[in-house]
Amino acid sequence: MRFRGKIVDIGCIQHFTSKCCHTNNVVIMTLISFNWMLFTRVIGTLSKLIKVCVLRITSGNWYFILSERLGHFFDEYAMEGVSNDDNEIYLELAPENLVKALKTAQAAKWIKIKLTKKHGPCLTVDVDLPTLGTHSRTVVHDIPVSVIPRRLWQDYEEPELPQFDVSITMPQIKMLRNVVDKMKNLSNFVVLSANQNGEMKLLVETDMVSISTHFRDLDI
Amino acid sequence: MALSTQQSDSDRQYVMLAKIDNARNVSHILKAIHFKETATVFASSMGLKVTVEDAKCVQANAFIQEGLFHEFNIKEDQITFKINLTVLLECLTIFGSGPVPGVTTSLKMCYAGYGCPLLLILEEEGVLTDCSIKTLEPDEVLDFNFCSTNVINKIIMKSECLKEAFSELDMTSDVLQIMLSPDPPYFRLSTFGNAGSTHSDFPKDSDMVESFLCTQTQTNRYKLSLLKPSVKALAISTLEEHI
Repeated sequence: MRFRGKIVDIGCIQHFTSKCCHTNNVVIMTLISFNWMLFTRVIGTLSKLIKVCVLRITSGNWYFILSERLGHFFDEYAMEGVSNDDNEIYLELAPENLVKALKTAQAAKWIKIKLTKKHGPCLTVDVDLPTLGTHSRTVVHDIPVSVIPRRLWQDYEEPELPQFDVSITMPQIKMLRNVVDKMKNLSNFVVLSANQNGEMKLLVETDMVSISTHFRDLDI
Repeated sequence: MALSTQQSDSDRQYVMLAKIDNARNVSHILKAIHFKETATVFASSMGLKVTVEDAKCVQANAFIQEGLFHEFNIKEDQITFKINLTVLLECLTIFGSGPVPGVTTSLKMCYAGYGCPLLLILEEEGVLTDCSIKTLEPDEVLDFNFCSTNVINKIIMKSECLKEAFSELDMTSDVLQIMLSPDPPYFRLSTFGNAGSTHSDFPKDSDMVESFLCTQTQTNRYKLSLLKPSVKALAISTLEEHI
């Protein structure tokens, strides 16, 4: 079981798309074509969402389960799974540790992420920092991980996307955020409804107040 | 669409109906008196008065004149109700509280009478928000019986420098002593905290003082925690009167 990857691209974020869905309490986030700056941000968001997540490494993808798929992301990539038939790796780790490790990588020339065996299984983050002279400065972080045995892999299968009844374009995210932010102060729950006429409604009801915000003329 | 026809039919049933082009004007002024959860609203043909009280010792009033509203209709002499000010402010600023250039939130406020909720309809860039806030039984409010004839000392000054002086007060002190006098030091704010006492003096011929009418020396001590909320009001005002 081996894994090693290297990222060099520090350019701006290009062609970034993300997709989210919720099923059976599993959040899947699929990310296509982006660089490690974004990776840092993804991990940042991730660490706020959950304490421990599962990292599944396959020949083409990285799954954080609460799950992330990373493609076209490493400049060098080598992995060897448990066996040829099950060419995957499932790891459990605390995303917070990964965030801390990636913090030093903000200005890095490249970072290398490896699965290593030190005292226990570790995800080693090798960060090469830029220097003025010829010496290289390398920071190494070892993040302890636990390897998930094959018999538990089925728990982390990607959920099926449900069939949609209504699919609607969200209104201006800034306004939506303001509204939801204010509603959050008043209640823990919000009712969201949308219809095929391009209308969306957010509703909050408490003992003291009921607020409904109507968005109209949205694209279906 | 159903909403607009429904409104014109039912508009007649409201005892109070107020429309304003910019809801921020209202939320801005109400924020200044927001130091307690609930407020009492008095509506009359003159406009809206919102009163907040704490510990039967301090009272803050915000008065929104009828002229500020785009439309202001009232069917009774005086309408009184109590309302949760925190909730009201959250509703008024639902589209965001920071000013966005070129974007205003219009507001329609309706009240159908005793026991009915206060309805707010806010609109910004085609997005509508309906709010219905429960009203509460109004409490008796304090009447301080301030009367303009028996004023001993009065200073009108720019709020800017008073705000600064207030924000620098030593908060470890329990009380703030205000001294007004026809003789030096004229106007002095003093605190007595853990680290020692502080005095801030305002000379009467300062540029910041618009008028200074003091007949006798007067020293009063106020609980600092009760005076603190008035700093919020200072922040948005241009002139402050002091009696």
